Parts: sequence; C-alpha cells; structure tokens
Amino acid sequence: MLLMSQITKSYTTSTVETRALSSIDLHVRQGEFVALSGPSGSGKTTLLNIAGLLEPTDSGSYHLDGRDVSSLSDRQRSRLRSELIGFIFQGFNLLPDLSVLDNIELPLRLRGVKSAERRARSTKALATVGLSNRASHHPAQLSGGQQQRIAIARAIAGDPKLILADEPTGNLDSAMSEQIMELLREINRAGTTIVMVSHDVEHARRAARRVVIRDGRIQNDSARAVPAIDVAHPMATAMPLAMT
Amino acid sequence: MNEFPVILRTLLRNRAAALLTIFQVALTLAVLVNVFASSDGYRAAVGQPMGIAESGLAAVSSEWIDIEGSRAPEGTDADAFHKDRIQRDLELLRGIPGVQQVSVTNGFPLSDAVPVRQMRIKRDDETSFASTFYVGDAEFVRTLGLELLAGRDFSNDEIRWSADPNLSEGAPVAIVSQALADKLFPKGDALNQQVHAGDRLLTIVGIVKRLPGLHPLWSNVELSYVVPGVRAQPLSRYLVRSEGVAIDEIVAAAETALYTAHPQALITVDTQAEIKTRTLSVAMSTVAVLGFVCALLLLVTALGCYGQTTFTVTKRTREIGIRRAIGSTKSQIVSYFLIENWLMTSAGIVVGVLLTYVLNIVLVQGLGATKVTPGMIVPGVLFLWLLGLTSALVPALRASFIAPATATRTA
Ligand SMILES: Nc1ncnc2c1ncn2[C@@H]1O[C@H](COP(=O)(O)OP(=O)(O)O)[C@@H](O)[C@H]1O
Ligand SMILES: [Mg+2]
Repeated sequence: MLLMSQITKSYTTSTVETRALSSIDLHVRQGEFVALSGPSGSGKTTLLNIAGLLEPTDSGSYHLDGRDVSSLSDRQRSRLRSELIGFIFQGFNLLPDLSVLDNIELPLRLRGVKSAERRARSTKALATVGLSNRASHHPAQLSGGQQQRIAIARAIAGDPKLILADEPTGNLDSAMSEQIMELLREINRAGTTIVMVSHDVEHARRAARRVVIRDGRIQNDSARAVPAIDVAHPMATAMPLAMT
Repeated sequence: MNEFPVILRTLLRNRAAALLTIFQVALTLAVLVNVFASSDGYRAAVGQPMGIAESGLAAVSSEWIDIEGSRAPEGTDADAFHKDRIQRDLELLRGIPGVQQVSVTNGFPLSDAVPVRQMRIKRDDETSFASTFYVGDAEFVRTLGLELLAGRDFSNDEIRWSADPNLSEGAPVAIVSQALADKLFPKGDALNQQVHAGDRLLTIVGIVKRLPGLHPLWSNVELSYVVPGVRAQPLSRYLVRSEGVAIDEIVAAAETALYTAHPQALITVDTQAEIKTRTLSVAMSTVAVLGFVCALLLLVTALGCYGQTTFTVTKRTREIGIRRAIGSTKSQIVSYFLIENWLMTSAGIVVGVLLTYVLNIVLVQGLGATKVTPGMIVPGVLFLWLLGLTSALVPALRASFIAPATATRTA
C-alpha cells in the first residue's frame, strides 16, 4: 500500500535548517493498522504529510498503492488524495460554514461524484459513525467527539484505501477517545489501511503494529524488531522488505 | 461547478460580510448607467445637424459700438442709421463670391443666445410651451435650409424694421417647427390657427420640419418659431449660405469685407458648426467630470472586490488548506473564489438594476434626464461582472498556492 525508502525531509527557514526526517524506510501493507508514536517534534506529522501527498520529499522514493508518486504533478497528487486517502486531523478540521452533510460530501463533490451517489455514500458514512440524526447541523453545534466522528465519516465516504490520522484523539477526553478508536478499528477490520499518529500509549499499544520515531528516524518498528508479538494480525507477520 | 450550491450556502451564512461589496456594485451600476443616460443627449447632439443644413453655413455678428454708449452716432436717427448699416452689410455679404443667400436674424440656432417665449393657445392657458423665438427676414427659411412642410414662407412685404425686440407692430404671423405645431395642436390642424406667443397673437402660416432652438441639450430644443422682421439695433446677426466655395474662405472674406466697411465695429464670423460645438463644450466638460467620477467609482469597486476576496482568502487560509488536503485541485480553489465573487457581484447587480431605475426616475423628473433603457444596462452589467472577476483573480490565484499541509500544521 505504502512503500517508502530513504525518505529525507528538511525545512529551511531564513535562519535555520531543520532536518525533520532522515533515511525513513517504511512499508505498510494493505489492511494494516499502524500506530506511529514518538516525542513531540520527532517528525510524525511530517511523515504523515509525506505519506498523504500533502508535502513533497527532498529525496528518497515513495510508492503509494503501487504507483511512484514522486514525479506527479500537483493536480495528479490532488486527485490521488481525493480518491485514495482519507484524512483525520487532531483539530477535526471540519468546514464551519458547511452543514454536516455538506462536509461529508465535499471530497465527493471535488472529484465530481453525481448527487444521488453522493447522497447515498454520505448517508451511509454518517450511519457508520452513528450520527444520522445530525445531518443538517453545523459543526459548531456538535461536541468534539461528534465532530471527530463527522470527520471520520468524511474520510470514509469516498471509500479510501488508506486512512491517515494525526492524533485523532488528541483533543478528546478518554471516553470519547475510546469511541473514536473503536470506530477506527472497525473501519480497519473492514479492510482499510490505517496509519495513525498517537500520543496515547494505551492506544498505541493496542495497535497491531507500532512504529516509534525519534529525531526524524524510525527507532523501533514492532513489525521489524519483534515480529512474533503481532501474531494476532495476519498481515503484520509478513516481514516488511526494509531489510537494507 | 459541482461546488456551486456549497459556495452559495456558505455565502448566505456570511452575508453580512458580503453586503458591502453588494452595495458597492449596486451603487456603481446605478451611477454608471445614469451618467451614461444623462450624457446620451450630448452624444446624440454632437453629430446631429438637427434639421439645418449645417455645412456651408456661416454665422456673422456685427456690433456697432460707441464709446459713449449711445445707440447711434450723434445727430442721426438711430433706427434709420441701423437700417441703413444692416442693408449695406447685407449687400457686402451678398457680393462675396460663392454666397447664395444671406438672412438677418436675432440669433443663431443652438448658440445659447436666442430669446425664449411661452407659447399658449389661449392667453390664460395654464399649459404653455417654452419655445425659441426667432426673428427672420424672407430669406431665413431658405438660408438655414429648412424644409417647409405646410403653408408658406414669409413674403418681402411682411418684413418690418423695428428696434423693438418683440417686434410688436410687425405682421402677426409665424412659421413654427413641426414639433411645436404638434404640441400646440395635437390633432394636426395647426396651420392657420392662432397662438399666443408671449404677449402677441400670431397666426401660423407655415410649418417647417425642424428648426433647432436655444441649446442642443435642452429638452425643448425642437420647439421653435420665427416671425417676420428685422431688428434695427446696434448688434446685428447674419446667416450666410455658401455654395461651391469652401466655408472657411467665405468666413475670411466676410470678415475682411465687414471690417473694411466699419473699422470701429466688432465683427465676429464663425461657421454654424463652430457655434454648436462651442455651446456643447460646457456640457462636454460636465460629461468629462462625470466620466472621471465614474472612473474613480469603478476603481473603488475594483479595489473593493480585490479587498473582499483578499480578506476572505486570508481568513480562510486554514479552510483552503483543508480543502486542498481532502483533494481540491488548485483550479478548483481558484474557481471557488471566482464563483463566490461572481455571486456577490450578481447580487449587487440585481439590487443595482432596481437602484438604476429609481435614480433614473428621480433624474428624469428633476433634471429632464434621458430615460434608461435595457440597452444601456446590459453593457454595464457585463462590464461589472468582468471587473469583479478581474479584481478577484489575483487573490484567488494566491489562495490556490496555500499549501495543503496547512491543514495539519495550524492548530
Ligand atoms: N513548516 C515548517 N517549517 C520549519 N520547520 C518545521 C515545519 N514543520 C515542521 N517543522 C519542524 O520539523 C520537525 C518535525 O515536526 P513534526 O513532524 O510536526 O513533529 P511531530 O508531529 O512529531 O511533533 C520539528 O522540529 C518542527 O519544528
Ligand atoms: Mg504532530
């Protein structure tokens, strides 16, 4: 699904150059649930942004769903984002002026899905997150947990193969967090690959595969280091190729 | 285009912010179209001869001036002196090669210096029509090249010489313009009817197709009449019609001839075309000022659209990042803001069309402005659409360069 090798990324401001990622090798297979953790500033968001085609890399190669994406145009990257990837953000990132239904339908609109199909898909996604009765509300009228569930509905409405979540429970209390995690596990069980950044040790531990990142490098990858632990997950037992 | 309903709903939720732009566009349209309508008469007048054969016509003024301020030289009878002077002028002018007709008149058409009288059917009628009042000799109609539609021209024995500006004892007849005849007698039976012109009772003996009056932009410019006579006064005016010789040569020859005959007189010779242009130049500067005001207004509106779009783009930086992250292409971002601008401009145009008509009604009633027609509004609407889109383009393009990563980088 996702194959990175020797990815590096630096940010240059007027005064300093920050190396956010160095020599990242990561292989995530179809259907995996990967929890990405590490201290603040270690490069988790950067890695997710690169994975989600939100930012270009400096060097290294990246294949997404079997495609080499390093040389794609901005337009092609936008299309891939809309067709292949669902994003879930820490701050929910719903559009405040749009109703719940309009928010969920937006990615579908952007890729030109006809209104009947749009409506069917968004209604289904809304049902999956259990908020069918909130379709015409606006984000400000919902609690944080509800907003994040709407954001999840938006992410899954387009049937993405990959969901990227950056600290999806970071702004929620523990009860709400548990709901969200359960939802994500359910989505993963249905076959969608998930890469999730999480601060929460408990959430990270329950993921099938855990990757720890520090100072822009992968410090520990449960799939590589101790593959036996993850027998519960059939995918995780397959050895990733990053043997270089 | 798929996003159109979403853009509309977003705009409706934020309508307070859009009101300023909408109002600005509405006001600009209303002012623009009304200024255009007001200058319509001017633009029409510029190229129009208004019924007189303008080319080949010269306008000559000759004023006998006395330093002491008396009407005529010491010891002479003033009326007789001026009658004699004018007759000699006429002879001189008729002697110039290429001159066909010469007529004495009290004023030149469209010169902004001809008297106006109220025309009524009965002496105590409430309704009256302000009409330009010409005094002319038997050559007047032919010299101006007027088209006599009904009745007759003046005969030579109707021409009285008088110092009285109203020519009170002259022959009580008049030739009127068709427009004036129709105003006074809508049934079309004006010929041989009597009318009150100021204090005089006149019989209409002739109707000419058109006879332009005081000012080309005056709403009553087509209402004019002429009575037979010559005013024996220090200031005399002649219309000179040439044929076969360039009008400039006639003008130069007339100047020389009259100046040689009366070295102490004030001689002015113009072409009739120059007279009209001079009268319009005042209006022309007004039109220029209004045009400048319109240009300023358009500039302010363009800046307004630019500012409005820049403001929303800045305010929605994060939202644009989110849209980009979930799959919006750059061109979809650009079209989002262009459509949003177009919707606001269009709302402004709807209000503006109403405002245009309201303002026009006021101007028509108050100042006699031209009525606004759809033909004037349509170009204004197209222009404002274009102006709005052009002004919104730069901020919209800027919006498309907001990085998709903004969605994950700003809290
Ligand atoms: N746009 C940017 N400009 C400069 N430095 C950046 C930018 N984004 C991130 N960084 C830096 O890159 C490093 C990794 O950041 P990030 O991936 O956000 O870390 P994490 O998500 O693990 O907290 C940090 O040192 C951060 O300051
Ligand atoms: Mg982060």
